[in-house]
Amino acid sequence: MTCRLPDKRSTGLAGDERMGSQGVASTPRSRHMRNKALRGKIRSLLPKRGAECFAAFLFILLVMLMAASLTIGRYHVPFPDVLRIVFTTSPFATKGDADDISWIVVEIVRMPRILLVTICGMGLALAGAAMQGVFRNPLVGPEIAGVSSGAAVGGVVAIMLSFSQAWVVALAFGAGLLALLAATALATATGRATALALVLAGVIVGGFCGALVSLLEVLADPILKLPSIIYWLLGSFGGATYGKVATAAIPTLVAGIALLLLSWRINLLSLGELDARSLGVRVELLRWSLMALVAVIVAAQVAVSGIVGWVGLIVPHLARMMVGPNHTRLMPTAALLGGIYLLVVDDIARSLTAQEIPIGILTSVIGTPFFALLFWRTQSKGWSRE
Amino acid sequence: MFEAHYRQELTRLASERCPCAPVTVAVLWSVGSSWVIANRTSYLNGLLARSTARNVAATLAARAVNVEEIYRLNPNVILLGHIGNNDGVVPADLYEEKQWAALDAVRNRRVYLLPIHSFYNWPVDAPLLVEWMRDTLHPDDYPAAIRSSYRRTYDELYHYNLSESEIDKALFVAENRASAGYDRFLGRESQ
Repeated sequence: MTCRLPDKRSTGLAGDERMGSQGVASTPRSRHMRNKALRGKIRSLLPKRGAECFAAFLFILLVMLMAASLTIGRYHVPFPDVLRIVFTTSPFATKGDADDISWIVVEIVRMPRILLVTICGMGLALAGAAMQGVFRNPLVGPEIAGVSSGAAVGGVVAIMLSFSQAWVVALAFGAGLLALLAATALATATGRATALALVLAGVIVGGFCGALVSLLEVLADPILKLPSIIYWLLGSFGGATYGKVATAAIPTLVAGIALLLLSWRINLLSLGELDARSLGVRVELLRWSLMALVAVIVAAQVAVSGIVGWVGLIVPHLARMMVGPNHTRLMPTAALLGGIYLLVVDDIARSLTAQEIPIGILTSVIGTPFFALLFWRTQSKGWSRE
Repeated sequence: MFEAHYRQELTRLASERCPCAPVTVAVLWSVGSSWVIANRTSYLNGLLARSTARNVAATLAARAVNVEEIYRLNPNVILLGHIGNNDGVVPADLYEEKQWAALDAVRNRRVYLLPIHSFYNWPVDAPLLVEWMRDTLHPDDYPAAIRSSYRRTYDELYHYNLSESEIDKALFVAENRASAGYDRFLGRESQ
């Protein structure tokens, strides 16, 4: 068995037909039977196996990158020491290793950060892929429902009231979901909630929340509170703890798995609202469910690390270029690529200079030119045809 | 009068300088989930030098650093700033959080919250700050006379009689109590 990248010929129905017709046989009847069996086999195995191999490759790459990231950082820990620490100790050990700087750096500082970054990267990319499918629009990101801005309001309020870190996370998460509810209510109030109504409601709620954040920044004490607010909004995984990992992992895993299970329905949704309806999809229910799942992921991410933009926008594009637009393949690929991408960016953010670079700045600085390149490269194909 | 006091006090402190080896110090502020360090532009560098201390970040251009960078610098003493933002972080937070456990300053319980000071009150506060720093950083070389210096300074300049609890507040006695050698600074009431 050999693995190969699924290309256009092996990803869609047309590809199956093409391969099915390659069967050669002596009599018409046996040829028909053989073709049918072949077609079934090819349909069920070949494209899927290719995609699985590619996904497995990305998964191995992600795990290797996570391991490599454990060796990168401002404090130099020799590679053998990293191996020894990872394989012989537990971060939850209560005694013994706490005096060892290498152990603290690897198990308490780097490990939770790497886990948190991977989870958030995977979640954001998955959410972005789902949103682009739902809205049939390559320009939407997971932030479209106003969730990021809503979560930002919650976090900023918690910082202004001098709440503890745990409360900042909790309030940001809650406010993010509240923003989604507001956008949903607004879209529903307009009658039938079309994709356009949802996008507009999201823009309105996001704009309002953005204004609230600005207002809070103006009202905040410029010496005592404003720096904290600015740093938090810029986004950083610097304060990663195992508590934050759990906070982000639980909602992201639950919502992420649900999104993956719904991925073939997103395929139907991306055919267009009318086609999907005629195929028996309860379009509105599905759309709301997907939006809610995406909101949970984004709120969890913003709550633990501030706003990290552009990941959910460019990574699904990259994934689409690699495996095509079928969401059952696109979404797992996007998730793995998202983890890889954010991990690389965060490694740069935390180790390039003594100054910790806010990751939100870095993802935008890398994301926008990259998006421009994609935009230029894909002008003649893909989405622009619609 | 204030300027004269400032010059006179700094001259006195310079004349009392011990021949001791400089202690390495990092001054940190907690800002959101980041740590801001007193770098090469910090207002504290001059005062630290007068206190026979060396700022480990004196050549850094960086402002926001992560925990690993602080491990790389690994200072003997950490001073927590409070001018500006510190999110209410006190020495006990560093002693309790596992991520700091291997730092020399934390293992030796040498994390202190800087006493109350202000840019607006510089001629009064700067000499007091230098005296506090040298007493804290070199506990074996200086007597802990900071409380009487506070009383004398405020009496001379403002004709105000500082109460024991006011000095406790200025020195953050409650917050710094768990740190090495701070019991030297306790007043009669706070003991």
